[in-house]
Amino acid sequence: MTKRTQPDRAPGMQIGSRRTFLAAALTVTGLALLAPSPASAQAYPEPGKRFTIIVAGSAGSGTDINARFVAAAMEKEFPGTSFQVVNRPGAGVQVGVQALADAPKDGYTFGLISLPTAITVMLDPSRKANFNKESFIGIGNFSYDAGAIAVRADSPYKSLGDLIAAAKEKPAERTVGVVGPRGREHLDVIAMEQGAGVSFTPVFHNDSGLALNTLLGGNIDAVQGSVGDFVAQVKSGRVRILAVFDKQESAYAPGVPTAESQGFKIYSGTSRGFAFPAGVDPKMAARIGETLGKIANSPEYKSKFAEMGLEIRYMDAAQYNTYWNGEVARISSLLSKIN
Amino acid sequence: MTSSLYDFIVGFGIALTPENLLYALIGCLVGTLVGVLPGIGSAGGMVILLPLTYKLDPTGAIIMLAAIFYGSYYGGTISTVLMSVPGEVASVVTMLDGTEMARKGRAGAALSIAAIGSFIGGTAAVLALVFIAPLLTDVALKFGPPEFFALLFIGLATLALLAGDSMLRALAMAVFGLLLGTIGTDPTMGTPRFDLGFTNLLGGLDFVPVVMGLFGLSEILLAADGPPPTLREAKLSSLYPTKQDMKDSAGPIARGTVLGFFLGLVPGTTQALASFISYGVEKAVSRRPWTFGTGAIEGVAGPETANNSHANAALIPLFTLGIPGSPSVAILLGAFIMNGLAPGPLLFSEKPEIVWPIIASMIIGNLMLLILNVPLIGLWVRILKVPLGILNPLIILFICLGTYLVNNAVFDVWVMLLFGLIGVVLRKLEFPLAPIALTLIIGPLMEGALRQALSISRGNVDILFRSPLACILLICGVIVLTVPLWSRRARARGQLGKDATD
Amino acid sequence: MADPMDVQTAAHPPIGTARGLALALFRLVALAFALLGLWVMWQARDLVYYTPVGPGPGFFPMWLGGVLGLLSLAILGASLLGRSPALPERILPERTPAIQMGVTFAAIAFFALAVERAGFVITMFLVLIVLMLMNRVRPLTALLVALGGSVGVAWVFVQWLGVFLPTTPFGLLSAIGL
Repeated sequence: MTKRTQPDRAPGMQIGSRRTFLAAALTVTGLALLAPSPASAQAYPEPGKRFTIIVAGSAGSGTDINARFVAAAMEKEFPGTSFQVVNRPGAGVQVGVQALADAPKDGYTFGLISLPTAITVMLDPSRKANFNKESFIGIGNFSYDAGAIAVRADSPYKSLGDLIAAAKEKPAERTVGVVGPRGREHLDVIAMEQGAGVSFTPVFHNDSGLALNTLLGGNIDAVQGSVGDFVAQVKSGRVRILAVFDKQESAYAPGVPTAESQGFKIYSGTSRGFAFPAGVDPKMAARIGETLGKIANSPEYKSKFAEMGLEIRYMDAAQYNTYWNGEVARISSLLSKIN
Repeated sequence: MTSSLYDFIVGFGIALTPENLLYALIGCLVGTLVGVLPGIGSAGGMVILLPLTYKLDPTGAIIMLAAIFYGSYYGGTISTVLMSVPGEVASVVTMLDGTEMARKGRAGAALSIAAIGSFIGGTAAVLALVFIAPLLTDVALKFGPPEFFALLFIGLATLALLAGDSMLRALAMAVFGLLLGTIGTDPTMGTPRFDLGFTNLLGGLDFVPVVMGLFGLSEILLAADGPPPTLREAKLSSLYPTKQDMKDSAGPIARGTVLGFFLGLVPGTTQALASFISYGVEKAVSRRPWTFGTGAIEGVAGPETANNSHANAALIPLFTLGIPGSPSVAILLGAFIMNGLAPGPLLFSEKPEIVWPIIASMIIGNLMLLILNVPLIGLWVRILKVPLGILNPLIILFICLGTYLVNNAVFDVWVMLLFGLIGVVLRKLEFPLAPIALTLIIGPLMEGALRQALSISRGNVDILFRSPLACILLICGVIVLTVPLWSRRARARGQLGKDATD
Repeated sequence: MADPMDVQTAAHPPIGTARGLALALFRLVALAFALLGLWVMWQARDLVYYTPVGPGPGFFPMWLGGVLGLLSLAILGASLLGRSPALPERILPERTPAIQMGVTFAAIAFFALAVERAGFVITMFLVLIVLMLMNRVRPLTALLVALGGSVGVAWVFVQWLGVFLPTTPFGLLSAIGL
């Protein structure tokens, strides 16, 4: 029993260890007090238990919407259990991801991880993040919002090539709205700059909605975001997506060519996957991971996904791990070239 | 336009079905409660109740959530006036005159006027959403970073007008608030600033813990000391406003409606900003500016109208552009998406059967809130009869709970406690607190807007004077800033410089 | 810079010790703000001051710190020249209110320390009962209000509204889902 509560501590988790110890101590005492506790992986999840899903974003945010959807579906898959979403916003995703790394390792707490957002936090030394990839057991990816770049419908730029050419002609004069400095959207712009040997001026906004407002008002040339940010605006004819940064076209933006097909091999997007804190019994993690796959592939939810504008892209634990490693490499390489 | 009128009437029919009426009523009641409970604001309340709406059908869910949203601004006044603890960040400025009115036994009048003003402001904004929303879309788009910066400059300038005879201390506190606003990650380079090693500070200081500490907790700590607050002893002269009150409030309500409305159209502004600017405007145009801070009803009517008008008007960019204008509206946007509705210009044509009932229910909801609030004032005022020995611990309960629930973080409780202590010291020593709240709200927005503008112009300051709109707003700001120099009336002693409850 | 504690040099002599103490505290706080301003400027030196596209992270802190320092020194100076606000005669609370303030403060600190360890219900119950007994509420009333404020509030939030509140450890209250 104590084996499970002694996590294989990931490197760089020293500060969390006091809380971890306390949690472990509490769990041990709790288990000792509560007579025989058959918390083996066979009887997992026990009926009547409550799961906690930590979300590093506030209620109503994109990550939150994904997590709540999965929580409701999981409750159906495991009758008798409940799945409680706990929002831990703060410092981008850092507070929430840290909370997940420090969470109890009893198999009843897991969380949503947004990549590559969490990776940029891990790789930024100034943020002093106390977690890394080894702090988590990824169980699978759920949804994926492909990166995209959009301009006003009346913009002279008809393709990504047009915009890049304009940037080449007048270095740093073309402005692109992005969310935060070194956030995913900003890194996409940096990837374009590095790939095409041009320079843009990024204009930072606190959220993608305000960046869109700046774009629609004609103050900036383009906004780098995700397909999901632009769908409503495209439908209303105010905005044109120049490129989708994915291997294939997006179902939500039919007819928009990929960046790759326009000669820019950039693949980027915001993924929403789930992970347990490292130290959890791998069998438990696998069990929830399987169920996640079942939900993601279930025809039952298909129309609901479309209604919510979610692009489901399930990856099992192994695929998720590969994707995660790939993103770490991609982001590290981008960051190494700007400093 | 006629077709939208037709849809609107059909929507009214749907909104009037018993179950949708019930959702609106529950939303209004919960919203009022969320507003009354110190520490739990509109955003907090909606975050808390968002999961609940899962179980409802989309129309009902959003009707309820929207009612919580606009209802909370009615409720916020109640705790502000009766308990001297702001129920909402947007009600902080109401403390200046609201608590003074209560102290004079005019709590009932303050609450009625606030409810009436809120109703007028809220309903006018919804009606504008129904009839002229498409014409207003461009207003939001006219506000690029330079214009937004100029708008915030007016907000900041009201401070100078209000500082009055304690100008030095008011300015010092304003700068202190601005400095608090720089805590976190800098908006263009992502450099951590003054995080003191706390991860929780990387995202900046949250308003709720700061405001609850400065204004709420400090009030309770100070209540232990000194004479019992006179407001508990004063007889309630009347629950309802006099004819003179109504006459005095007509102007502030009208101006508050227009002001809140236009600010609501600009994404990025908040209700608190609207109420602060409204207070400044009322003081500037008042014939008796010296009564402000001693229980002037205009100081309650204007801001309370403006924040409701703003709340409802902020839905216009949401519905017409799909852009959420304030944090609370962003939560509402989340609720729309979860229910499979992406707000935006097409929502009206794609899902008229959902959008119009929601809008219609907002008119019904505002009416419900008026009906709920005015007759119930007698009931609310009985809060004053609860012994302080019980009431204060309960207020502490809700401040702690609300502060914790904002981010589910104990860290915020510590921040609240620290600012409670700062609040006690500053109040005792006659340092004004209101400027801190104003600049903490404006500062980060202003820095963000300025740096966006300069990024666009690549460092050229000319961009700030680029458009006629920006110039007009900047000139307005300069006028406001220099009012004390040329107007003897306005020079008459100011109140923002004076302590909120002294 | 004059020693702020040196009240005797003030333009208007202290009227009784309490008034003098208030004035001294006032000046001390002004000095503290001045020092805060200086500290901020000092910290801002490490931040980028200006970039090709406008002010850097250090620009506003540098100026704001400086302005805060100057304003605070002006307040201090004005006070030393005899222009201070009308401060309350008695600045420090008497013994009983001081204890009450201290207990209230400590109770909230206890809440912050304990809520994620002992759960919301137990923590809030203890906070409420202590505060009410301190306020001389009758024990039975205090008990009932404390139960309502802890178990009652938690029940409404957790069971009815589906909100997360830290649960009580060891499953002590698992029977009622808290």
